[in-house]
Order: sequence, then structure tokens, then C-alpha cells
Amino acid sequence: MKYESQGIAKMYFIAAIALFVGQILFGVTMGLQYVMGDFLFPEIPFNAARMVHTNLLIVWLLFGFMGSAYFLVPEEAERELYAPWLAKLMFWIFLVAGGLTILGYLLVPYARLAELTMNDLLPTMGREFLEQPTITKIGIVIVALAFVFNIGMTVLTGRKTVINLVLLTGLVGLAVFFLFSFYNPDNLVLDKYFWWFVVHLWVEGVWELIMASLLAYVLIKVTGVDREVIEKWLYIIIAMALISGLVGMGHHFFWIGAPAYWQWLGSVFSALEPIPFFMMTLFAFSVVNKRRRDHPNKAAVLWALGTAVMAFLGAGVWGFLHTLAPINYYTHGTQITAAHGHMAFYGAYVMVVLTMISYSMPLMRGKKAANVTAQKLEIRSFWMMTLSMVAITLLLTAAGTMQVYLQRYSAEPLPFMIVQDKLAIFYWLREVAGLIFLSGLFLYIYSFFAKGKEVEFIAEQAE
Amino acid sequence: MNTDDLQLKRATSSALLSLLNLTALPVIGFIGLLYVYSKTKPNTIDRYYAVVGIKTSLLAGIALLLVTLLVILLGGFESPLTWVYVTSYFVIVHASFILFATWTLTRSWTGEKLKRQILSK
Amino acid sequence: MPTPITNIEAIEPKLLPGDLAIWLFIFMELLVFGIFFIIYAVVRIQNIELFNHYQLTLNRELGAANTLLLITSSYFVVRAVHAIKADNIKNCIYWLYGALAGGAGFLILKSWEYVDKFSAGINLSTNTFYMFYLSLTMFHFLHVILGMVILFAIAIKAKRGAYSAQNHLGVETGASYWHMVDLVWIILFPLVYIIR
Repeated sequence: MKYESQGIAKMYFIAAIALFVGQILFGVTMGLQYVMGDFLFPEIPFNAARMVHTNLLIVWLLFGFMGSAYFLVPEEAERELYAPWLAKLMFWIFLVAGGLTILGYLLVPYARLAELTMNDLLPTMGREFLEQPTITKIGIVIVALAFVFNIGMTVLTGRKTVINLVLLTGLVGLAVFFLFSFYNPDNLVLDKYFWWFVVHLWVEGVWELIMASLLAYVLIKVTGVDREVIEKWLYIIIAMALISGLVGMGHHFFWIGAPAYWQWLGSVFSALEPIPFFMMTLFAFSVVNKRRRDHPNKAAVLWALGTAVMAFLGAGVWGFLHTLAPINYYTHGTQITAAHGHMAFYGAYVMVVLTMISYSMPLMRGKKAANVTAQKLEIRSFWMMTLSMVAITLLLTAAGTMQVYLQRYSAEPLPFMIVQDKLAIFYWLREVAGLIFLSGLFLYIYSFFAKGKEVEFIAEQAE
Repeated sequence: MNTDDLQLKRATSSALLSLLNLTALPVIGFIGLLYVYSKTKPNTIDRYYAVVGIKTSLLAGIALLLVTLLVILLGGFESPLTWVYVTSYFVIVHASFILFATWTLTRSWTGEKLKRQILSK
Repeated sequence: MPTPITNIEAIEPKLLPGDLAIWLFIFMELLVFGIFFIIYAVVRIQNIELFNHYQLTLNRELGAANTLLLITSSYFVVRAVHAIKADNIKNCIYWLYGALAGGAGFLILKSWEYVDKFSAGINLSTNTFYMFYLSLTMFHFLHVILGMVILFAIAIKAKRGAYSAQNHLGVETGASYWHMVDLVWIILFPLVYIIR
């Protein structure tokens, strides 16, 4: 760690991991509710659990992105953070606002929450993933603006590298596109457009820029490959992500009442969306193959490679699987979508944050890498979480295929709930995989506290 | 170009053709691989990658086409379980082959062989 | 055992003019257009009468003029590359401006064509043929604009003395992209305007 203010990342990462645990706990709860409908009812009904599961994911990933930016930007810009106090203040504001919102979801009925937070003054609630009360949304905007200002001033008054400029672009986009969540037109089709402007332009647009720059940063650090080579890759990946991702948004407009030409535009452009993810895999593989040194932090290298592979699988392959309009006609909103969602979020965004944590945490604790035992445990937790996520994805894919066939394709289609009954075996197995994931996560957390032999330094200073 | 450069170029072409055979240009990529193979000599880096490419392609052909076809024939076209199996199997196995070919390609860029003996003998 | 290569570019030293990165990018772009063209062809076969009927409403003369403009401008770009290789910066800039003028002419004619169509009440939803006609040509239109931005940036850099006979990678890179824009139009024009 070269700059003192980088240490702020630590509190963000700790909060991120804590919320991650919450997300997974609600995940396994819901997984059980799939097969035991009245589990924990009426305390935690399925719809509330689902809202908490998805909202916690977004919130902890934002904590992760912010922490990563606070760690990365000072080092790239070669100066201390512009306003460390602001970063600390925003952390507490965000944590308290996030915590209160989640408690609101759990403790009062959603309609009552809307009343309490005076949603009728500026109605923005009630839409999937954007369920937050309006005041929370305003809080998010304030936190995001303060954060972008802090990072932006650091970058603009310091050394500008391709990595921190790309990261900054991604973060500005993240803040700007969230503003669409305040517009809530009465026309349902129009509403869906604006809803997708937030959701799609985040996960299939600007978040990809954030992910690519974080990955590039860690890869430069752990492999010692020339910055120039990595920057060229970054340009191509980003160009491809934007070309395919922007018009690729059309794949959400197939069946919402939008004009039919979106079926063509959406299919063609979103069919290209795997390309930037594939290029990230190619890029990560090639720099690891050309590495100039073996970094003592083996776990971080594994996480980086894992991110590249799993993002390609989850976002690229599983996205392509159901993105063409004629196929999506059958698969839309089935368990196939759930399979894609799980692996894409885990592979692209969860793993890239964990990669940053894995690389930076030891540095913030005054070491170059975690000790041998800790790394061994961390690597084991990597495999437990990653493989169980692969299992969850495959099981949901299988369930989804069955669902499509029985409910939509066969000559005598069955009703939704009858089909769900027939999928129980897949859901049970998915729940087992989910529990393994949870144990992997606990092992991951334990690895931070494990004591053991320190790794030997193979001289050679990092870049 | 001297021989070493030419060999390296052929080695990377083989790896690229093997990847293309799995993705954008099935069959055409394989024919290209056979052509590159015909130009190589034993115990060289380009022969090595041509062999890896050809074996990958053949194995992928068996694993993806033959196995899938057999499952459909045995399971029956009208059974949902056939499609459950075929979808999950095809996607994951196909993706694994693509990942292997991608790794091989990046390995060929370094001019060295794969670290472990996979599909090269 | 051959020596390891440290850089991708080192593998193919003189095969492609310009930066390898732009070629990857060009490859991707051609892939996008290629997929679009194939789909167009397939859908056309399924709706052959509709396509033949509405194809006649397109302005072929303007399309042909635009083809000439782009080909000429591509030639100017070639001259610009030759000029910089001969260390003649001034001529290089003139040729680049010439190429930009060709691109601008294309944009003007194309906009005229669009105004004509839009004022006749035609839009993406009118029918499948117009959907393809408009989305394909507009997507290409955006590429002409991007190509012009690139050429303009190169002209400015050349003016500042960034390029010479020894160092002209930037000019070649921009030229390669511009040729791609031209090439796509040369396929697009007969495909959408002429072939029956």
C-alpha cells in the first residue's frame, strides 16, 4: 500500500462481505421456500426475501466497487485521495441508509413502507430491483455523487492512466443512469423502457467498464506485464462492450409492447455481447501466460482468472443461450433466466470484487500476501463457491428446460404451479448447492483470520 | 521470415483455427488445421499445436455431436428429459472446449508448449 | 526451442498495415455487419415480393453517387498514406481533408435521402424492408461519422508534426478503418438498393 488513504477501502470491503453473507442467507431461505412454500411464513414471505436477496446484492456490490475504487485510484493517480473524510462519511451514510431500507423491507409491509417514506410525493417504488423508498434513492444519489466527485478530483489532479479513466467513466455512468429510476411514467411500456435504462445500462454497460478496469489493474499488479499491452486490450474490450451492449438493450424490448423491429436489433446486437467477455478471458489468459513474475498472492491470481472464465460462462454463454428472439419467445422469465442471472452476477461482479479484496486486503494489513494457510483456505473457498455456483446454474438450466417444455412447448401445456411441482427435485438439489456455497463463504471469511507460515518473498518489487 | 518465425506463426494459426472450428467456422477450421498440419515436420512447435488442435476438434466432435445425437436417439425426441440433458450437457461441454482452445491459443503466443501433456500425443 | 514472443504484434511483423488493435476492431465490425447482411438475405428470401416492391422506392441515383464519393475518398486516404511515407506532411493533410470532404458529401446526400423518406411518413415500423433499410444504412451512417472523427484527429495530429516517413502507424491505422467503412457500403449498396 503506497498511500495512506487507500486504507479506507478496508471498511468498505468489510461491509461488503457482511452484506454478502446476508444476501446468501436470504438466498438459501428462498431456495427452501421454492419447495417448502410456508417456510418462515408469515415472518419472511417469499416476495420480501427475494427483494432483500436482490437489493443486498446490489448494495454490497456497490460497497465493493467503491472500496475497489478507493484502493485503486490513489495508486494509479499517484496521490492521496482528494477528501478521505468524505469517503468515510459517505460510508456511514450509505451503510445506515442501506441497513434501514432492508429493515424496512423486513419489518413492515411494503405498502406501509411506501406510506411511511412518503412515496406519494414522488412515486418511484414498486419496480423490481428499484424497490428502494424514494428517500433511499435520493440518499444513493447523494452518496454516488460525493463518491464520483471524490474519485474524479483525485484522478483529474493526479496521474491519468487508461485504467483510472475507464473506471471513472464507468462510475460516472453508474451514477448518471441511476437517475432514470426517478422517472416513473404511468404508461407501463414507457415505464419499462426507463426501468431498463437503469438495469441494463448498469449490468450490461457501465459495470462492464468498471469490471474490465479492476481486472486489468489486478492483472498488471500480479503478472508484471507491460501496461501498454494491457491498455490496448482494455480499449478493444470497452469498444466491444459498448457497441454490443447499448443496442443490445433491445433484447429486453421483445415482449414489452415496443415496436417489433427490436426483435431484430436486440437479437443481432445482444448476440455479440459475449464477445467482450470472451476477450476478457483471452486477455486474462494471455497476460497470465506472459507473466514476468510469480506473485506470492496466488489466491488473487486464481480469483482474477476465475473472474475471466466465469464471467464469460455466466454473462456470455448463458446470456447467448436465450437472447435470440425466437428462443426467448419460449424461455422468457423461466428458470433459464434465473440460471443466467445467478452465474452472470457471480462470475462477473461478485468475483471481480472478491479479486480486488483478495489482492488488496493483505496489503492493507501490511503484508504482500496472506500466509500460506490462509491462502490455502481462500483457494478452497474459491472452489467451493465457484463449483456450487456452476451446480446451481446447471440445475436451474435443467429446471428451466423442463419448464419450457412442459409449460410452453408441449402439445398439451400444463399450468405454472403443476410444472413447479414437477421441478421439485431440481430445486432440492439447488438448495444443497446453495448450502455448499454458504459454507464456502464462511470458509472464505475464516481465511482472513487463519494463522500460518508467512509466504516467502521472491524479491523483486511490485510495479 | 526465418524458420523459427514461420513455425511460430503456424503454431498460433493452428491454435486459432482450432478455436474457430469450435465457434464461428466449424469444419472449415478443421480443414484449415489439416492443411497447416500437412506443412509441419515432426518434433516442432507447429506440429505440436497442429496435433493439439486436431485432437481437440475430433474429441469435441465426438463429445458434442455424437453424444448429443445418441442421447436424442435413445431418449426420444418427445421426452422433456432428453432436452434437459442435451441443453445442460451441450452448453457446459461446448464452453469447456472453447475455454481449453482459448488457453491453448494464449499459450501458443508465448511460443511454448502446454505445461501438461494434454491431447498432444 | 524457439524464443518466447513478448508481444502479439511480433508474430506478424508486416502482414497488416496499422495497429493490430484496429484490425481486431475491424474484424468485430465486419462480423456485426456480416451477421446483419446474412439475416437480411434470409428474410428477403422469405418476403421476396415485399422486398422487391419497396426496393424500387429507394433512390438509386443518390446511392450510386454516394458509392462514388466513398470510393474517391478511400483513394484520397491511400494518397495520404503515400504522402506521409514520402515525408510530405503538407500533402498528407490535404489528401486527408479531401477524404473528409468525400465523407461529408456522403453524409449530406444520405441525410437528404432520409428527409425524403421520413417526410413520406416512413419509419422503422412501416414494414420489414424499411426496417432493414433504415437500421442498416443508419448503422453505417454512424460508422461514417466515427471514421471521419478518426481521420480528422489524424489530420490534426499530422499538422502538429506527429507523423513522418518513419512513424506513420497512426495514419495507416485510420486509413484501414476508413477502408472498412467504404467496403461495408460497397456491399450494402448493391444488397439493399440493387439486387433483385
